[in-house]
Amino acid sequence: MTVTAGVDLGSTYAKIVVLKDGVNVGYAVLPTGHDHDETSKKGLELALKAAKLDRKDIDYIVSTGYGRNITTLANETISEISANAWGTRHIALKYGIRTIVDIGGQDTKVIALDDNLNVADFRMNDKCAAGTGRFLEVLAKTMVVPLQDMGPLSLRSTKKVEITVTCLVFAKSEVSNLMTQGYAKEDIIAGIHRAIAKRLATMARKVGVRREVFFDGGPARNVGMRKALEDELGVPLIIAEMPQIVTATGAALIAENRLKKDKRTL
Amino acid sequence: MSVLAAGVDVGTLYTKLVLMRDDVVVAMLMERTTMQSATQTRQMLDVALENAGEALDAQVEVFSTGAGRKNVPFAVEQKTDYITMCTGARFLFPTARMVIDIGGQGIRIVELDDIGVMQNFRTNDKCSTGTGCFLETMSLALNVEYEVMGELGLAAKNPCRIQSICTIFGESEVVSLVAKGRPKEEILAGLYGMVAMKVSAMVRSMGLKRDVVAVGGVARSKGIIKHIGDLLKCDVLVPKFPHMVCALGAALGASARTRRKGPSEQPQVQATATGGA
Repeated sequence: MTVTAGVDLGSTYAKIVVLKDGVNVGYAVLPTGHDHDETSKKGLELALKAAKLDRKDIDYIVSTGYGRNITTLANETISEISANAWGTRHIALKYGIRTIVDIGGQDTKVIALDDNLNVADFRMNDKCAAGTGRFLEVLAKTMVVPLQDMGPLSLRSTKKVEITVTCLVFAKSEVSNLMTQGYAKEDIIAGIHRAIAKRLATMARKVGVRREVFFDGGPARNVGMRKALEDELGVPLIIAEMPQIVTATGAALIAENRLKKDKRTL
Repeated sequence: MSVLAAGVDVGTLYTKLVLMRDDVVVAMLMERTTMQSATQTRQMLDVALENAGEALDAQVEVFSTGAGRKNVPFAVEQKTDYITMCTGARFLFPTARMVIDIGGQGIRIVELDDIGVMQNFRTNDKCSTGTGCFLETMSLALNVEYEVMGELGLAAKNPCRIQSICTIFGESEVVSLVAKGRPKEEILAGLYGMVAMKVSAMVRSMGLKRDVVAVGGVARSKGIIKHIGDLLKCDVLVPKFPHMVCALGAALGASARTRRKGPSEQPQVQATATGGA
């Protein structure tokens, strides 16, 4: 039996996955907070509890994400681009994924895979909050709508409302203005999703959109976001059961692969 | 013939008004822009006339400018801010070849030839970094009053390095710098650097031409202007009231028109009170 863990310390949430012989047996998602090391330890404990395993059962831990160098748990660190590609691998094999669109808390990525499912090209925006998970989060707060209600609400939209600005700071005032002008909540939210989808689609087209397209990251749980992006790209999207933990799963799979290789060299 | 003219600059954050009698400023006003620009600007004009000791029903030629220029019903002509900022800047600094306008929601740079004709321009209204919105966000994050922000941090010896180029991410960075206990002055100096980087990159992409004049509300921040000057390695000229320059340019335009064509048929101008947006 091999037990490995992947620790994905994102800008907003920490995701920890425990694999037993390559199968997900427990995971935890918690806000990153400011003490990344403490958070990762707490998260690992939670995930182990869910897996009914003990800390000493774990053979190898790989960390990824913004805080990957801060946690003291990891035997090894890996970039989130690679971890994401690994985490997508089994899904990719099953569905024939060639493009990954990933919305993170503070960045967006589009990754192109070749036919061997290796990373062929990627684009990333981590410079500007427009189009990232933060965009969704801040505007949800501006509208006083819980983040998880944004998707279902937007599906009820009947009228097209356009968010005309790029910058999140400007979008905040535009959304407040739209609300005072009496536009319906669901129409504004659908407009927000469309604005994010447009930015992502521009990035995706630069890399080239090859089917199948996998939509990853926390906002993939948002049905409205999914629909907006499908409309914008003109292709159906494949979504993981738990989009948030795909990258952490990838890190854990990399950990497992290391152990296999080590055994071979032994 | 004595000419009374006004320029109204309806900006995204503030509305500015300059009243001139024979090209001499006789009144200046600034207010936060409201949703009812028509009423607001009309009231501002009345106040300006009163402050200047003019009759409320005096014949005034008005040009409007700025993002909300279409919402000033009594304006004879609407001018884009590119034109008015240059007119105003050249009036104050006849040697100006480059005019940088850092406003509430955008940055504009215009290059002029030596007789003041526009040659080239760059604009960035997609991104809030460096604009008035940016400064307001940071003043909240740092708990420093907006009005004193420009002076503070000028003398910081050890400015913070701000890594972000986005207002939203910069705000988080500022919050964590505050949490780490870095003095406000050093964080502010870092923010000045962040703005100056963006502005100077825009200037350099056009090719620096002297003299450089900075206008718009953000130009009131001595710290930002100093950092821009340092990066461009040249003096940046700033008028005494940089935020009024577009309104000034509009007023100058209005008075030139009156002199050329005579007083216009006013789309005027009932004494206030009725309102309506």
